[in-house]
Amino acid sequence: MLETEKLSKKYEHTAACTDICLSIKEGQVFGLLGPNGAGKSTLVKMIIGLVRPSSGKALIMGRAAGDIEVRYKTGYLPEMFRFYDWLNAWELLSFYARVYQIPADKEKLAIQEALELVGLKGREKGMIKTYSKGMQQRLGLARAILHQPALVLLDEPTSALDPLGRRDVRDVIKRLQQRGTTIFLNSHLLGEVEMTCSHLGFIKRGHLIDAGPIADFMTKEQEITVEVDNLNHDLFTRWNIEGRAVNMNDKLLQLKAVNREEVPVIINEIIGAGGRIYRVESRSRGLEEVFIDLIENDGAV
Amino acid sequence: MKHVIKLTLKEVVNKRIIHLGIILTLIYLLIYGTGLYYTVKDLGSQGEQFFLLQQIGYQLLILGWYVSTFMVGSMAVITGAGSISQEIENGTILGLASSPLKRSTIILGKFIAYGVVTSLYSSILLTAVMGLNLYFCRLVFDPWGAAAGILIFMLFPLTLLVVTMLFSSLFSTMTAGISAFMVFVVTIIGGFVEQIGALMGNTALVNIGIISSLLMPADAVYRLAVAQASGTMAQSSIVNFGPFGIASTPSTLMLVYTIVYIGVLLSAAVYYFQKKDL
Repeated sequence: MLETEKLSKKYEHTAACTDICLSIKEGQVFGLLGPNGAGKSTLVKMIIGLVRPSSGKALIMGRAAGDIEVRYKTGYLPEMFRFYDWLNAWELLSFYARVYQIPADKEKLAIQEALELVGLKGREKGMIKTYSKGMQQRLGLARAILHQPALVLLDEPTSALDPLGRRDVRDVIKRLQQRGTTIFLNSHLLGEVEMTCSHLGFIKRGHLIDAGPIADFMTKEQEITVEVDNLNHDLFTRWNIEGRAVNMNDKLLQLKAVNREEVPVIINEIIGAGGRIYRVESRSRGLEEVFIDLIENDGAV
Repeated sequence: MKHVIKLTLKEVVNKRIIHLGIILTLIYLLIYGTGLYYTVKDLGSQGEQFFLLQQIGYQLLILGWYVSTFMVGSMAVITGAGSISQEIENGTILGLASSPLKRSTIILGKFIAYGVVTSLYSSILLTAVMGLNLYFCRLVFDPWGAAAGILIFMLFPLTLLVVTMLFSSLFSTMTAGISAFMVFVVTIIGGFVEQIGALMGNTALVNIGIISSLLMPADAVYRLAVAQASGTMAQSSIVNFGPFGIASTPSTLMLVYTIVYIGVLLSAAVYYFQKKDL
């Protein structure tokens, strides 16, 4: 659905994106995570054709980014969303329905569906200038999905929303996913990404440092808490040398395992060395920990 | 294209500055008409006074048209200055430019809509000024000449609009507006210099005026429009020997140049907007 090949954008003194290579398949919900200024919005703008790449290319459905035919099948919600505030929501969506060549007999239904999906039904006759920021963001989302695109690019779609609004957007994303829509979601709200995305990418200072299915990131490392008595000190020393961030506090042992399969191995080692185990807890590292680890500790960039 | 034109027309209707412009125009016409009324009242319009009234009436007509150029020019600069840059500054362009509309369609659609509005405004304003003179001073116009003059004058706001839109695709709204207005002022001064040069028989001054008209042919368009609309009246009036007059009338080739000028600058605006990162 979406491929980028060494996509780069350089400004006079800075590189916003460098050699970004991505491949997003049809139906995936891809979340791009990165701190502010990492190059997330620039990447999306290059994909939609608003920013010209310095080198490399982006292909949507095999066609170049910015291609007019591709835009009929693409929806985009910008981070800095603003609309003509002298229109009402219905007029704005009607304008875009015509731009996207939605047949006249289907226009009304398409607008009603989009408004209902984003929770603006009944508010469509209100002037946009009277809308709150959250309502404007919902309207932006309605505009992005109005023509039922195959690919939707959402740049910080919940930045102006309250928790209920965020939940609504998650529901919209789920419904789009059920329709088979591919979604590219830019966000730094980790919980939101964790709940909605099937795939993740991490960007730092314009470099894509890791990407893949979300399950790979979540199961890669486990945090184990063991209530243990008579722990062998040689084991403790070895784990320290292996860099497992081991910690022992009042019979509570905490350490990291590389993956889930390592958990029973470690437990067997404790028992084999004479340790008595009363309780074991193992949990995947949260996305926040993965994010901080990748962004703060990645030495490659 | 038609969607952008319709949207832009709707925007113009909703702009407060346009409403204010219309109110100020009505006030201007009211003051101008009052001036004509008292001129006629004080001079009288019978016998020898009629010839004098015609001369003064023609002077006031030229003055009315000249003031109208400022109003039309301001309208063109105000509507064009934010046409691209303001949409970039407030982010509304992101929705438009990410849709299936080509960037050239966005520029051309806006130009057509703003062009229709400003041209219509200029023709109504000029007709109103002529109508007031016809009513109060009983100036006699050749209807075809007057119509041709008004048609030519419709190019006046288009030259300013295209310059402003080019600047708007390159600079911020403030810079675009100020720069366009400065170019407008330069061409006005160039026009003054040309007329004075013609009066004094100074070729160098005339050439300066021609060069300024090549930079922006708005003043040349104005003088061509005046020459067409006033017809035989202009030949017998002393007002032609002044900065507002047509002592030096531009060649009709200037009309061709103006149309080419608008085309080239519009293409440049499209080119720069297409290259712009949004």
